[in-house]
Amino acid sequence: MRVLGISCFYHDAAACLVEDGRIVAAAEEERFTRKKHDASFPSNAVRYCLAEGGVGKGERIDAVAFYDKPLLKFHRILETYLAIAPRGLRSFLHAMPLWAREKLWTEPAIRESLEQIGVVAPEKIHFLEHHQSHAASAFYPSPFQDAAVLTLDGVGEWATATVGLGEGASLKLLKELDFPHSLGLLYSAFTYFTGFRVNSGEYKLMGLAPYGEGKYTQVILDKLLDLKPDGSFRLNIEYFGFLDDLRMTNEKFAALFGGPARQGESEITQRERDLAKSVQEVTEEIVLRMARNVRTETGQKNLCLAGGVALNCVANGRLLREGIFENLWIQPASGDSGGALGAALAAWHSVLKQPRQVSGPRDAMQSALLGPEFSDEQVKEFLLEKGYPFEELDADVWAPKVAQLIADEKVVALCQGRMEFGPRALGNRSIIADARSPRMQLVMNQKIKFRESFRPFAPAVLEERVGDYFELDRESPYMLLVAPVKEERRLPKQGDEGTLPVMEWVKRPRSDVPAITHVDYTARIQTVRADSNPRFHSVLKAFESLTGCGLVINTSFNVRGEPIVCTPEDAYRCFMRSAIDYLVIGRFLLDRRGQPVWQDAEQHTFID
Amino acid sequence: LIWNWHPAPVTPAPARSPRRQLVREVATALAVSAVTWLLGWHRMSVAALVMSGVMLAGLVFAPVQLHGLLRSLPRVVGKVATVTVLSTLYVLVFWPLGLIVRGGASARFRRGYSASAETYWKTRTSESSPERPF
Repeated sequence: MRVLGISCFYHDAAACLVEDGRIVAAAEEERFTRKKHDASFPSNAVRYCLAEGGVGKGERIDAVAFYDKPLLKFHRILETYLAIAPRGLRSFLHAMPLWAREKLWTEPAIRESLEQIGVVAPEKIHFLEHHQSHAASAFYPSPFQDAAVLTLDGVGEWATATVGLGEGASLKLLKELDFPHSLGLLYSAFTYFTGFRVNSGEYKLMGLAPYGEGKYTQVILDKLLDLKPDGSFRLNIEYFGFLDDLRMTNEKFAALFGGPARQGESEITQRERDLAKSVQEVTEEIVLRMARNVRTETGQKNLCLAGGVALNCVANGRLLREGIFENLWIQPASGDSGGALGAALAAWHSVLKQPRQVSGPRDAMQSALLGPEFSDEQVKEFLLEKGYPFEELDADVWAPKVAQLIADEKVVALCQGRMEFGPRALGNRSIIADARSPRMQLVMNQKIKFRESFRPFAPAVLEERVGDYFELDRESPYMLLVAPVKEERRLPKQGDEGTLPVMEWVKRPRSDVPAITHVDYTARIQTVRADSNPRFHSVLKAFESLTGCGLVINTSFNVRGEPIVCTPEDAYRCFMRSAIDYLVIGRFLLDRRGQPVWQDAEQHTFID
Repeated sequence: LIWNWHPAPVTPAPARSPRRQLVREVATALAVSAVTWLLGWHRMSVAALVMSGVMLAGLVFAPVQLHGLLRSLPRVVGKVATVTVLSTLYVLVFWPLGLIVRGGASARFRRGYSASAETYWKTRTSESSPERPF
């Protein structure tokens, strides 16, 4: 039996195919359309998933599951307008035409789109609650037979956070916090106020936090929310604009924090740094209180996390270090795209009442490598057709060659194997480089990623060597845990760091692997195992043989504002638009210096 | 197989019949409103009432749209007309209803905190059926 999961119409549209309970394929639509956070119906992702599952045109899918309940969401929006009238007029004028035109007609839109693709949809389309989809995405693929489940995000229909209990194939949500009291929205409000883009800039805010001090932590706790010992809270909505305006915060919020919101691209001041640190501290406090409460109430030793807030890997690392739960598993696609996967699995287990098998200590996510893969024949055909010069590497020299390039301080882009599902690149659509190089962080940020350079890069480390570099005693295959760099690898601070501008501070080396060490001596870790991604593991292993270093920088293969690459064509385009030295597509190596002059109106200007 | 990594030629979406689409949308919305009203669930009833109001406006506008009147208007006039209608609807429907329900159903939006409350967690008493979109 095949179940198709779909999430779309808000942000991060995605599709997922589950066959007999096994995840066959999953992909975000943005990777195909090249529009970041694309919210439209995921026609391309559905086509891909069906192709991967061997579903031909005209064939019937056994079940289709959508990741939320649109009418319940509409109800929440209407009730919000009722509660705040007449203040929400501007937002109402913005939202209603969209709802009347598109969002109210989700079911017919799904049917019509599937029809256009050539799929025969079943009679009924299943609509799971937003947080039910998140919870299912966290529990069902986890390696646990039983676990407590915590979901945290901006908002679904009404719920903004839920606590659930998973036992075998059964998953029950026990309690919830309702809109407008949302941890995700609180974090997004600060994202907006510090000048970053809501729904995508939250990572930047988290990356900025170590540069600041928690000067506003108590102000946030005193004025913006009422936090109970069990982690539940209410926001003081007088300070927020998301109910009645198109902005996240209002004048009262600005007055509380000493002036208007920072405008994007303007200089980051001490205030933004301190706000980032403060809201991060509050977030961690809420997550810890919730986790303690969940542990007490469910008695479970395992916790599964999902929802956008679960991508806050600093909070995740803290949760792990506090030792509230023995085991923690976080869905790698914790945002809305993961809702497609959750909806499909929830339909399989909860609606179709199918049993669940937990096989051994590994999860069912297949290392999140659930997207398209391109054969060597396809890649060669593409390269020959386009006339791009390349070198074909034999299997036995492939990894040593790539490792040698990295050791020579070259930046190498990898496009090999199945594309990752979720926001992190885990070695198959990655840019990798030598983390020991003191100049690498700056070079990669400015010349390749075209982004603010205060953000650290993540390390991909051999799982067996993780203890040599970090204070982490377990695997972190999805780059969702932040842990401290080992004490003995750190370089002492000079004492004046707090007074330095962000751009100056970031240039100071902080450890013997400076490119991946944040200013607070932490790193966002990906551990790599030979059985989960053998090719990427072989590169790390070869690099270790050459240099003795068991880790490399791993950042997503894209430039600022673009989705991660999917096809060889995307990879080549991104390679030529940036200053990446070498591109590896499957077993083929491309040297920038030998490539024809790139004609592209959108070519980026390099910053020296 | 229906997916190929080579970019597929873009096929234009089939032309829709505006009359059929409008009738279908209005009918579905009215049916949904009626069903939710019958559910008798207070908050949903309020929502349904408002939805009916929106759809009523839609009904009034449907013939105008069908006869191409709006389409023949310049874009800016069309926008002004849309904003006027929606603003009127908002003031007439939402404001009074908002005042009525604010005391009861919308407690979650009330300002201030409940110092006596031990928790803000809300226990879930029932699972909603995946068979329906609400």
